[in-house]
Amino acid sequence: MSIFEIVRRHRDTTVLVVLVILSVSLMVAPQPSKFSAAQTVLDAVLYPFYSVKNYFGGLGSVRNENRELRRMVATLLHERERLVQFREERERLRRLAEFKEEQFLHLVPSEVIGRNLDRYQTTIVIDKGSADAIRERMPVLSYEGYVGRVSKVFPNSSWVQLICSRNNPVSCLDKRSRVVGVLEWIHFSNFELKHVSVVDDVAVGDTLITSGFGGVAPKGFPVAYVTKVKKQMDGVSLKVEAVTDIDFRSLEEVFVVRDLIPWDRSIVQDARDSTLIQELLGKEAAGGER
Amino acid sequence: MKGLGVGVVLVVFFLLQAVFSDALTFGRIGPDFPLLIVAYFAIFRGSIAGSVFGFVVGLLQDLFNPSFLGLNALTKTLVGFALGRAGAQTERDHPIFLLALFGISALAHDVVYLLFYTQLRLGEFFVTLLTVALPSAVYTAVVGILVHVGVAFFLTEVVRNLGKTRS
Repeated sequence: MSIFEIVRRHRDTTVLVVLVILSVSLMVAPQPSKFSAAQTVLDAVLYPFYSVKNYFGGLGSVRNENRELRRMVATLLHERERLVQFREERERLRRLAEFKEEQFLHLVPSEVIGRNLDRYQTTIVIDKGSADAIRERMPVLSYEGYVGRVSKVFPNSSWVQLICSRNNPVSCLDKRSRVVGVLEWIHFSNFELKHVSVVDDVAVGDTLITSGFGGVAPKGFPVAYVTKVKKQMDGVSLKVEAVTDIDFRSLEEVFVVRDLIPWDRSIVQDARDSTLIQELLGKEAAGGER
Repeated sequence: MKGLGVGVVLVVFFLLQAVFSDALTFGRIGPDFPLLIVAYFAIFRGSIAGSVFGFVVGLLQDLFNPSFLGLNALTKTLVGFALGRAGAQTERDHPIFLLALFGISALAHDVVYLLFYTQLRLGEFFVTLLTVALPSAVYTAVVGILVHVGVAFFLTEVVRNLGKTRS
């Protein structure tokens, strides 16, 4: 019996074998080829659908959100004006004390335009890419805290690997006791702070913030809070469980930390801001009277 | 023309997944629309169409996470093939059989997927299987059967009555 006859008789099994071989070949292909192939196809086919969905999905709440944001911006601008006055004084004192120059984060606001369709994977797609000077490994923040890092950059979009991924641990420290550990995702919104010794002071309710070690996540951003602390079987380390309040499934806007700017060169206020403050305050006052 | 129809169905189901998946998902438990369309296709079109369709749908899903490119394609190919075979040997129009086939296929899909995804870390495998995969399989099966019954009702009742005049 020739091979063609076997194939003809067992067509479905042959198709299955071919497809399984194809799938396995894709699985063992080098990561860079996988990413570039996937991005090419996605850019061509599926991005328009996501853009349309996000556009219509956001219209409903945008009016209320805008009103609320305007109010918030007005409050923040007031507060910032006050802070600007403190800044100069603070910088003068720091120079007198010869402290290291502090740095300021340059944030790039980005919209989440896609997320993977898989229940077990944790990547989002944002609308900023190399055209906006986004680079791989740049940290990504949300309003609530540190959410992940840029894993792949394309001209007009980037992939962000969230911290709720198995291979994306974050160096964190206990905000209260300054104990340092490595926060690893377990499942859902649960994390575990690893490499904590029994002599370290970690308690339930403590907030874990990014330590800045490792050079990816900037220091001081909240990530999770401790929910359970118990001694490990080995007797020398602690099992520290933590939970995050960040809802990774509903992230809509994130901020990529593009670079660090020396504090005195950061644009904290310019002429446009003063005009904006006046405009916003005018609208607020008009809204209040109504 | 047939290919165009299949393409349209594919796009519709991916849109369903993109638009409704979040709304219908509780925690990590949610319906797997791409799997449903593969199951449906396999049951009614046979194992060859089922496995090819499973491969295409799985591959499209994998494009969203290329780190595991090929994994969804593999699992959905296997599910498409198995359901194609099973569909030919069962009472496939009966809702109870369909419900069982949807549920079993969703669970089998997740079992194979998780075996690769967790790289045989059995603790994690079983925790995810019990807390995510099992409830999701039940959920997917229920959503699948509701869609099936809904579409069947629409086709038989609503379309049949279109154009009828009141006496």
